[in-house]
Amino acid sequence: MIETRGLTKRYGSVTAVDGLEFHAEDGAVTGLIGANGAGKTTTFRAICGVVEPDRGSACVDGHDAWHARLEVLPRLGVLPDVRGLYPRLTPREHLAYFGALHGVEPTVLSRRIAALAERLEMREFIDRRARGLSRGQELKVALARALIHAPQNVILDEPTNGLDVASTRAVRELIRELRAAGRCVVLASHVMVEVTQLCDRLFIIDRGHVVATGSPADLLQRFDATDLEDVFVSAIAAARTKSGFLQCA
Amino acid sequence: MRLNSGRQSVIVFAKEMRDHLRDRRSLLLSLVYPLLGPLLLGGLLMAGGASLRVDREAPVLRVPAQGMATLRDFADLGTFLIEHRIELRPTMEDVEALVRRGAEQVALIIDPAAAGRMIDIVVVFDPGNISMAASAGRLAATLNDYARHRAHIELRAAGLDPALAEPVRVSGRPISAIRDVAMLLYGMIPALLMFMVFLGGTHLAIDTTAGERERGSLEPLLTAPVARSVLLIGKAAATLCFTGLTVAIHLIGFKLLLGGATWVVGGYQAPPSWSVFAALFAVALPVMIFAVAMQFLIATMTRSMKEAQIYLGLLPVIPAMPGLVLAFTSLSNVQSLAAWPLIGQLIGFAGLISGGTASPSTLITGALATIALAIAAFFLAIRSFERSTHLSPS
Repeated sequence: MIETRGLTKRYGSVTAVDGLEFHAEDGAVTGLIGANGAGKTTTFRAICGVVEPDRGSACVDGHDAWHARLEVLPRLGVLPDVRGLYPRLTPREHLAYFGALHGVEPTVLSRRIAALAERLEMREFIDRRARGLSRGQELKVALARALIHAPQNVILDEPTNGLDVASTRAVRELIRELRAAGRCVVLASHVMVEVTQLCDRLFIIDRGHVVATGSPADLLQRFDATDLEDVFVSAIAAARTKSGFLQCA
Repeated sequence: MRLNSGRQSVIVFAKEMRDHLRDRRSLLLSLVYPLLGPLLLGGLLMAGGASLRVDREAPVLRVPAQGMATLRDFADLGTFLIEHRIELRPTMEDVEALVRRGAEQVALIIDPAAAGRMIDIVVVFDPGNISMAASAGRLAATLNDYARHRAHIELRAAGLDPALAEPVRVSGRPISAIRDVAMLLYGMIPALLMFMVFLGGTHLAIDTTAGERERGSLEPLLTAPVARSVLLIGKAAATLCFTGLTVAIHLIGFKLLLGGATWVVGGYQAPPSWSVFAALFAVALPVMIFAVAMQFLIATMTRSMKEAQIYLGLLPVIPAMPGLVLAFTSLSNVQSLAAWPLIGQLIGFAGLISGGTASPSTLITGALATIALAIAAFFLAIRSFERSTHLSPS
């Protein structure tokens, strides 16, 4: 389970996250959606213990992400928006490196690498250096890296960005499997079809705080909309005009 | 299962080694650059060796002389000089201008006002040119020998004791043989070695810190359950390894290339023994640790590889400063400076190169001081790396 309480983070005069209240349950896919610069990446960084909150906190399975970082990180797998691969290492070496840092036993690690390579269709390029991989291939490596230690909680930032249709389907299926296995999945995506298909609950954020939350069906009803794109636009517009906070049960 | 910190830093170290052994820039800096200094000194020894050798087998020195007509009463001077492989050539040209523009190595001006039994001779040379200075020294010494020889002849002819003209006789006794002129070049090894220590791991230090940040691989790395200090220790250990490799190749290059050059040219002092070069490596080790710590301190504070490259480019100024202190310090004061970081090692380098020995107390004191400073710098680097602001807002 992942939650933030009054999470606030400033970079100089810019308030990236402003008192964010968010929670994601186990066995569910929770969407965190917002425009560029809304505060998603900073929120994810705070949940990973990569940045220190100025106020409030981020917790994973009850552990404070900043103060108990080394307790939190083994429970967390992260696919960041910047995939961040080492150009001179192969995908297999990436997975072996991160698996080893997570303390995965070598025999288990080999099995997991083989399984992820199979599941994400990486066999063809798993022993090629990362320099020269396509954007979609890079994403698969980064996704496999996030899952190599079988974390209970998974944060996925744009998990299908750059993938072809077949791979997109495979990743979406993988996300459903993670949910079915009782994992807590947090998803950020600009693809509203994907959000509609996958998310059990949504948090729409703007200017660093939540402007609407609820299940996709609740939000569609609340905003009298036919798709989530309209919900997203309406929620942000309403928040900016009223500076109000909309809460759907 | 969480691993202990030691095991984790070994994993980071192994990854960085594997990654950078595949990197052309890291290998170029570690394997090729360290050979440039030895090639330079070996080349100087080969090409400039002949002009540095001040001995009787030196090549014929042809010297333009202004005002040679004044020498008509010194007919035996020409013969004396030819015996010493020096030939005078009368000229009406401005010899100072000839030497200044490098057309002649050395020239003579014979005062036309002088006449009879006394003449004034001026040796014109450029002291900034080591080859010219050697030729000028050889010419002046030969002319002084002639003056002494001539005085003896005339005093004897007058029935006087030649010692009357020379109550005090001054001669030099070099503590090294003429063949030791190569030591002049060997004396440059400490400065080049110090420079290489600060250059060897530069690319690795930048790539594993500012580079990770720039290509976005730092963020996923920070989501691994590893303390940032442990990450930095693993990265620094790999950088130290590359620095050590660079310094080892540098020293081996000196031994082999200088040894080869002295063997080919012949007659010169051979470079110090392998054991001296091994001792130089050992003495350089604390400086390597300090250099890596400083590289990480700077690289972790910068936001991009370009910024890091600019600042790390200035880092070799640090070892230059103690060198300057030493240059203006008399030998008697040098030992009192041994406790200063880097100076102790410079003293050690110089001692090993010149005599093959260095005071153990000097080396130990200098090593401890340098390592203490390295620890302080690395501690600050860890603090800098632990700051959350080194990821850009988005």
